[in-house]
Amino acid sequence: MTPSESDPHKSQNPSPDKPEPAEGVPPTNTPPSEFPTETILPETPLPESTLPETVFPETSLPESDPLTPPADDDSITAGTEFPPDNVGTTEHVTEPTAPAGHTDHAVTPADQNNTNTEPANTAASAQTPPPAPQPARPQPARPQPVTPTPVPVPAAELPVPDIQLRLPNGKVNVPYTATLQGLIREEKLPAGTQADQFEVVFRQVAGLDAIGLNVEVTGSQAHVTGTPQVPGDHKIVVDYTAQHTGRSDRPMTTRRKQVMLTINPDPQSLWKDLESDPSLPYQKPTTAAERKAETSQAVLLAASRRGRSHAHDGTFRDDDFRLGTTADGWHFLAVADGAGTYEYSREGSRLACETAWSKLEQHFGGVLGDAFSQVVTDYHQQPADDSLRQIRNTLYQTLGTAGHAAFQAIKEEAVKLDCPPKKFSTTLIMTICRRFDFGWFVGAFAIGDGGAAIYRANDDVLILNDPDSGEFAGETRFVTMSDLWQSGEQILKRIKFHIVPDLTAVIAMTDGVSDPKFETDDNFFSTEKWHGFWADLHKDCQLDRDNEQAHEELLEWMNFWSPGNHDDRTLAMLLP
Amino acid sequence: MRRLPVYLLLDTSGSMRGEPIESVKVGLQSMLSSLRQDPQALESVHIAIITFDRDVKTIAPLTSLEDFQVPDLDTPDSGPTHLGLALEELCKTVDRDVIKNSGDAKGDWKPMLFIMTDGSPSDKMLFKEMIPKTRALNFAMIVACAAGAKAKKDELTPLADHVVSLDTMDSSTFAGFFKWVSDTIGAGSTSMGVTATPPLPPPPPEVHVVV
Repeated sequence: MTPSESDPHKSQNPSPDKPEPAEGVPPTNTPPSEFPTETILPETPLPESTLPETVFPETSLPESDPLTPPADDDSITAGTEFPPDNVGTTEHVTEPTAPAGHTDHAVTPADQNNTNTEPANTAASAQTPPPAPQPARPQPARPQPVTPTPVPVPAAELPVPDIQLRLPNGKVNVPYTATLQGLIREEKLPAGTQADQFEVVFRQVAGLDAIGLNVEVTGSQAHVTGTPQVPGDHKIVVDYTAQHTGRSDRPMTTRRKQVMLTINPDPQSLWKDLESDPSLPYQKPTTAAERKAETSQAVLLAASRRGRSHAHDGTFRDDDFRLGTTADGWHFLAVADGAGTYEYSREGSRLACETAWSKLEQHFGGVLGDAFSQVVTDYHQQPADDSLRQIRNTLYQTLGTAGHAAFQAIKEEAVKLDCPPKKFSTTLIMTICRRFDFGWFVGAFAIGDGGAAIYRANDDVLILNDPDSGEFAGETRFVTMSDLWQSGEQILKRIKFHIVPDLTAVIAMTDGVSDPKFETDDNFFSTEKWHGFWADLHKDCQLDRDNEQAHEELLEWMNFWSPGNHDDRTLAMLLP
Repeated sequence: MRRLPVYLLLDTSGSMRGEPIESVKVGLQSMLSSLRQDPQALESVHIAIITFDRDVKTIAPLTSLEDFQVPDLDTPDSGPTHLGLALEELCKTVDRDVIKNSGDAKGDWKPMLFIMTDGSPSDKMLFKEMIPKTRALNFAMIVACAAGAKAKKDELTPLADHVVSLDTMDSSTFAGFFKWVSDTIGAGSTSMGVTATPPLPPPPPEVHVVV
């Protein structure tokens, strides 16, 4: 019983006369003598502990001083009778309801910020000896912090209780609706009163226009609606009164209170797009796209785009790809994802793809030439252990060696820089494909996450790798982990092949694409999800052989917005 | 979408009454404003606040950064500082709140814990008992802040990955501290997916890194 038969993820082979290629049996007569057998302890991907630059801009909020009166206020009386609470300023404002002749209202001489707001009373007081005219005080350019001085309450007035006000947070460009209600704060009631003796009435709510919101004040409630346009912590000024039900003869006083309304920014607007440092080694452009139409059998496409995370930080694209086609019809796709936490991983991914291709190129026409084609043809006609073993051996010698060569190349580069190879950590997924009379042969070798598949519009998807993942998100294996190269059996497990009568596409992608588009491993192995993915691609791309812009369209498609998924994105595709 | 849960344990004992607790409130508000400028934090950060004095209260359950509002922080006149009890409550809360990875569901990122105290735990035995249990909760990082002259840094060292101290408890010191907390959370949200402890950003002058 081969491992693949018991694996629920492997799709059933539709043609009963072609048994599912088995993995897990190493070549009997080829120990991995070409691969180094030095015993090195398996490396664990410990990131460098470098301190990042702080990424926050200076907060531009004004100091939140609970004692500062609102800037646009011109009728405020300084002096609070109750201790200020944490939600905002509470100001005691007296309405001009004093009887004629009475000019002395609650403007304290100590107050420095307020203009004289009672022209009516001044006029009415012409009959009595006018007090020394109060000069109009100019409105200050900025609100000054005011130290409250206790104001003696005239016997005729009853203090207005404090209320609790809260508004839920909103978001820019998202419709907002909330009802402001005044809840009497029991712990701060004037002495000798009870909460249920008061009726809260809203007079005015100011400050919402500037944000793009409207308010409808209806007695004890204020309804806020609209679509906010301005992000930030906004101070909304609420004037209210609270009539005491038992003392309707008392003048109504109005209090002023601030409530904070937090409007979250539109997250899309926050992402910066910074250039990477041109002085660093191993420069790499933020995007790349390529199309190869060198043979009549297939067109190869690829696109790679720096993710929003790296754009925000001004770091490099760490992904890479390589396409290759030989004259005798072998096609090569490779994608690689450099590990973000390692300094030179962008070079690791590039070097891995380049080296793998150039190593394989030597085998095309040689080991992967006519003799191999014959073995494949034989196997297709008559699946037998012998030809199966030969196929696996050959793939081991070619794909396995190519991967190992990538590892070697990175090690050599690391020696030049006198640093450990893990600084170049990268995943690597390679596929080789060739058309035969009877269909397509597709072989693959993969280290890391992301994935590759044979997609068929009218049949089950065939997944070409077992994605490496650990306990936690982001944990995976890399080409640079020497323990991967110690066992022939382990290496062979990473190599898979299929022979199919036809296919719609062969696709390889890094997890920057598979995470947002498939989300889970289960979904990656689901044919239905792949049909959905293919349709998704076709919203923006015309993926046929003759479209000379297909690779550019693919690059554009790769700009899609997916919250939480801001990694570099790379996809390579073969279209028959 | 994956959440980054952030737990804040704040001392509200009598000695915090007045300017210290007001400064904490202001500091919290600017921490939120600062975090809201970071697109990665805005997508993932969720915050919960547990206060401790004689009593332990969850004054804010785990809420997304988008929806979060600073709650009222009250301090009693005097009384003990039950940090041990707070850790016990924290352990129960984290067990309940934090979603683990499973085959078909995206688990949370490893949570972060920030503790601020201006004194010393009154429930020493329970506190000592809770240290290993808290450490076993798989926090990506535990930061303890010893605020003011009476705080005992040494008692916090076995609990936290990093201990910082504040010389005073005035508004500018707390402002500096909460700005640094927001930077630390931001760095955490950027390096999500890495198994080791997120890197610690450089502290402002008011915040002394002890460990």
